[in-house]
Amino acid sequence: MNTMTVKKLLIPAIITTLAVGCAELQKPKSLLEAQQAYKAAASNPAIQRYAADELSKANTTLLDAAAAESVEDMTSLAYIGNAQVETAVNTAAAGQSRQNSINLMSKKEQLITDSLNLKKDAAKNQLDAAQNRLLKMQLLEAEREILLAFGNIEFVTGTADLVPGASTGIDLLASYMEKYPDKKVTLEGHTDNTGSAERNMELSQKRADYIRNVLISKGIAAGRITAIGYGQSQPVASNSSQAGRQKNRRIDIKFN
Amino acid sequence: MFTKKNTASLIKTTALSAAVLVLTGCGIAAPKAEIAYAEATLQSARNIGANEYAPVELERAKNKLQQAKSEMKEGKNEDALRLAKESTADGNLAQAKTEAGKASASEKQMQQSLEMLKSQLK
Repeated sequence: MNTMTVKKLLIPAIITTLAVGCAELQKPKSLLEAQQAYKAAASNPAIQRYAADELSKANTTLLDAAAAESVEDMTSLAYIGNAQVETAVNTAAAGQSRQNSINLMSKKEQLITDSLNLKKDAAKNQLDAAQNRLLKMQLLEAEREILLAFGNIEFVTGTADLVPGASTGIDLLASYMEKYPDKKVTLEGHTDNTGSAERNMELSQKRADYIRNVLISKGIAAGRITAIGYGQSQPVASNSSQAGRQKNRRIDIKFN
Repeated sequence: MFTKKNTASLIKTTALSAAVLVLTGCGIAAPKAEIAYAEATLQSARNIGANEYAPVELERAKNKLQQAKSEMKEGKNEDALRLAKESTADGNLAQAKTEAGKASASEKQMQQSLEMLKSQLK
């Protein structure tokens, strides 16, 4: 009878103690540490971005740990939760590294592309410079030929009529002006000192005008050709000899 | 000798034993699947090179797995289950650490190759 009473009191007491004990389990240090580690990881944007799944697993485990009904379970779940937080940290580090590698790769490709473009540009510039030099040489050669041909130009004495067969220079000048439409020319008429200065002035103007008109008739725009008569004012040789006078009767061309 | 009082006492004692059993969880089945899973996780970690990048975590996973197996042999299924799950967590960590180590190594390599390219292009 006495033992029964003790048992009647004891059984509920044991059950109550077990139940209360479960609810009031002291959290082990390892769980607190794991929870702190989780908190730090969860607030890290890189981990949120690259290891969301791992983070969520750790969260579930740590919630389970906090609600565990035995110290053994709680300790074990804390251990697992901590490992899962570390897994999240490492997964995020891997993701970040891979992203960095991708960025570095495209940086590298950009460098190569830029460098190729630089070389291409340099090569193109060199080619352009060479072409420009060649074109300039062609231009100067054409002008030299024209000047040479104009050196042989001859007018019938006292008139603005060309001696027949002396029009090579004009033809060359016309085709030159067609080829280089930006070019303008100034035709300068000069005479020797035979006759009056006034008459020579007039004659030199007429001869320059004559050539200008021939060019216009060949389709060259009038605005590109200026004709000026200088008469006998600008001799290039002595008028005292036949040869000198011939040199002074001339059409000079200025290209610009 | 079986009085009514004695029978009642027996029933109560049995109920108490059952309650204690349920609370402590001694009655679970052998965690064969969990141990197999831990084993597979450990093997995966080895396969990707955890020996080199996460030797400490790999060792821990291995030891926990061995312990889990011997606890199961002794019928301590609950301990075995906990250890198997811990081993799996360590195995997963070893894998993640290995991936991070590899990714970091290849990033460094990429960085070096970029620097080399830069100096070549100067």
